[in-house]
Amino acid sequence: MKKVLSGNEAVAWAAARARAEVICVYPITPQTTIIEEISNLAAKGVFDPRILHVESEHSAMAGCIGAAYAGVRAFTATSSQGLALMHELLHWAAGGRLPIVMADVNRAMAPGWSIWTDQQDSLSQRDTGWMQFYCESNQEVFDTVIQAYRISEQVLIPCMVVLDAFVLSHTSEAVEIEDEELVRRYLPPFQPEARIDVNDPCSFGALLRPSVYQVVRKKLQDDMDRAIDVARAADEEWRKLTGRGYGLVERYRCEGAETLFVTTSTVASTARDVIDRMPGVGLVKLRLFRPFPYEEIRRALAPAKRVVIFDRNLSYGHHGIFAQEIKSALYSLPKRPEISCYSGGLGGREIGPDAIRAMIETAPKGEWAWV
Amino acid sequence: MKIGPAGDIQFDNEAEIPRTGRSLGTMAWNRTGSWRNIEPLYRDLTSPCVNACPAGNEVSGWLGLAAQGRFAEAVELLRTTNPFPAVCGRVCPHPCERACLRDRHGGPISVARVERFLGDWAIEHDVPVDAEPPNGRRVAIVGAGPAGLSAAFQLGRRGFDVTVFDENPKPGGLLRYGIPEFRLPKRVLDAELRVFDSLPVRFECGTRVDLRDLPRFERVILAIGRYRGRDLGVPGEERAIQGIEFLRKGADVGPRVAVIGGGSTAFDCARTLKRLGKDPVILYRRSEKEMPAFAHDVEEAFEEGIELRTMTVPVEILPHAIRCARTAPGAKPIPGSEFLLRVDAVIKAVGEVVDGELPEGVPACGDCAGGAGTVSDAIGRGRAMAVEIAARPPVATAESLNPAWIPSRPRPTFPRVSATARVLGFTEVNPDVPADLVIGEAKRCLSCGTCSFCHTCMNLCPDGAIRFTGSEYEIDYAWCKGCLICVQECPRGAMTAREVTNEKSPQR
Repeated sequence: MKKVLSGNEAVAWAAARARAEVICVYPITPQTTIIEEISNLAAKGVFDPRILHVESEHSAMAGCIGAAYAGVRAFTATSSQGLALMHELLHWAAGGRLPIVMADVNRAMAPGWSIWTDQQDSLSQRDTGWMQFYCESNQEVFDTVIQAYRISEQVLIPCMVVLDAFVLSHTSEAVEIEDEELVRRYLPPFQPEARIDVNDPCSFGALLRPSVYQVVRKKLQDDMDRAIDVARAADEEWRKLTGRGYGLVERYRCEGAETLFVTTSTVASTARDVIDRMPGVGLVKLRLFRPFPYEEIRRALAPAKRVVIFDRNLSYGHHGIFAQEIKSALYSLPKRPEISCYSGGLGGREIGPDAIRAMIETAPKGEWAWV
Repeated sequence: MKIGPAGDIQFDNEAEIPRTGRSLGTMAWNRTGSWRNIEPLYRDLTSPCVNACPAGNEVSGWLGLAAQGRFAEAVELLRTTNPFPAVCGRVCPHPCERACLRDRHGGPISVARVERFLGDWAIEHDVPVDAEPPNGRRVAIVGAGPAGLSAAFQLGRRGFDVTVFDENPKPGGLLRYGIPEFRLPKRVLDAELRVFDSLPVRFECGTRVDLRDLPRFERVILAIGRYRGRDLGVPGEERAIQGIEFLRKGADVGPRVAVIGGGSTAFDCARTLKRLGKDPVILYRRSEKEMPAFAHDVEEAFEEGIELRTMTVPVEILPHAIRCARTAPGAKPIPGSEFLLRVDAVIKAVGEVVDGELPEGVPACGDCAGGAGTVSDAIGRGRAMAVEIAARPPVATAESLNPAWIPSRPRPTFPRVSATARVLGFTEVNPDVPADLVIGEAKRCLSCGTCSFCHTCMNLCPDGAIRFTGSEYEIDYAWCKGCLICVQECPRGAMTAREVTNEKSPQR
């Protein structure tokens, strides 16, 4: 059924359709309407989760970890300071191989205090071992949360689905909510590989000697590598069932384009309009960030003469994070395109069509520039 | 996969290691105890209620047992410090409740109620007294009030043969002859006194005892209380009756009675008078807050409509009136404030002192020896005296020694500086003496009553049933036939004999 939904409402519907069993809730702007809508849906009987009100985001992730160890499907949502507060437990969820799905509404980190969008919060958690998807529309958000469970539960790695604050979270669009039956076919019940069982007591995550720790961590890395194909297949399967698929790296008007504009999230959506008016320029949208889709990025960008990368984030003392990773992926190419890196839009600052056009038309002096 | 020498798991290959981090064995091999440089240990703190109780009752201990319905055990624990819970549950002001830390979490525990319940329950269920077998040691106690009774109970439980003397017709002291029926029914006191039935304690009442008649007792304890009422020090006071006497035997008085004083005796008198249909008024020279009477007794007295006039002191007692004065803080009479109060009788209850002088050198406990004037205090002091006596073995006498083992060796005379020399100056009269002379004196000590490991018992035992462990002697009762040669021969009386009951016979 089609509904007019905000990005947050789309997240809530997806969690409902995925039949998340334990949802830990703690509010933070601009994520709070996710958990409010989840509560509404539960109250209306759309699904029947166990909702745990906890006292902080750290506890929210702890609750999800506990639920996942108990063998049930867990979900939570957060943003900026809340995501930062969960940090140590993000390491635990990934190292513990727990297929938790979490929605992160990209919001700038304080100080200054800001409720508007940028990508600093999710990218600060880049190295914890979570998968990360960046979404451009509310429909994509709905679809990706459901895909995330399928991928997560196959590779046993938690997954963060990221959407922009206010631009998606609080802006409504038409969203196709697939019905229960279809999602049930796509997403079978969670079958944990190991879980807490009072009849077979054990512990999880106990002391590992140096000789063993790296082996276990190598298994995480191996499964991350595997996850690229698993993610691609999951997206394909969803396309077959619903007609909607997004790929891991999307190429838009790239044939014959000498210049490629690379970005993520809603800036990609604005860029489409700009690219439509600029022949010879294509858009490459990065959707899956972790695991990093090296091959697809190399394939997409190798043909270009010039690549312009826009980051709505910044690693202080260096430059945009997507830019760094993309440049490192292109290093092995025999012929590398010229690369321009821009960071901007921090704290929700507008990145409109003019800014995008300006980035494409001018090259920064030096490693990178602000926009 | 196998268990390594340290106890940890050793994997044969990487495939064996679970990616989920699920444990495959125990972590007990990792002795984290080696990391500590500070450690916890169990040690109790004293509960404030136990600390506040003048009798040292283990209040929190028996409350816990009572909470579990283990009443008999609670009574047993109670009796280790106090044989009279039914009495105390009724008359004690329970300072434990004032110390209770539950006061800020809903209010202090009603310890008095629980204690009274346990006392009544013990009476109803005839809970036996936990006692040691008789040891034949005789103790006399003069005074069958709470202090004397408490001492008698604690000694009796420890096997002592106790005789309690009292000049009154029945035991109880102030419990019977002071505290009125409405605070402590006599039937409760009589029921609780039955704890002595199973103990080697006997009472000789209606007897005024002469201490010179008591040599057959190993010890004598005085517990005669304070029964002589203080005087007011005002003219005409011979017209006033002592409150303590009024409570003991009553008096024929007219309707309007003034009671002078602000303590328990004064209030007991006033409330008794009310119940006898009289019209009492209490006169107290200080403020209400300063009255020594227990708060609940004062509260109950007010509810009963007892009249109280504070800051009032008698100046003269007349045939049908008292001349009173108002007082300033500090009980000083205010000049010019005098007034006349018409009364038919006056009772004075301004404190009690010991009747007569206590003989020197005789241990005394309770109110006659500086007690606080409450039942629980007297019980605590009586018990302390009993425990102290029981802790010490009997005193060795000349009869304890076996002189056959004691060669006579004279005590040396120690030199002094000659008298003519020493008056010439201020040097010490007694100079230092050689160490071996002094040590020789130490060697002459017979160690009366205390084993000095001379091996006499061991060497003489015909069955070789005594052996020395290096620090003490052990008797192997499987072989000891009780000839008592060891007891007879012990030079210093460090051995004694006891009857063997069937339970103790090793043949059984």
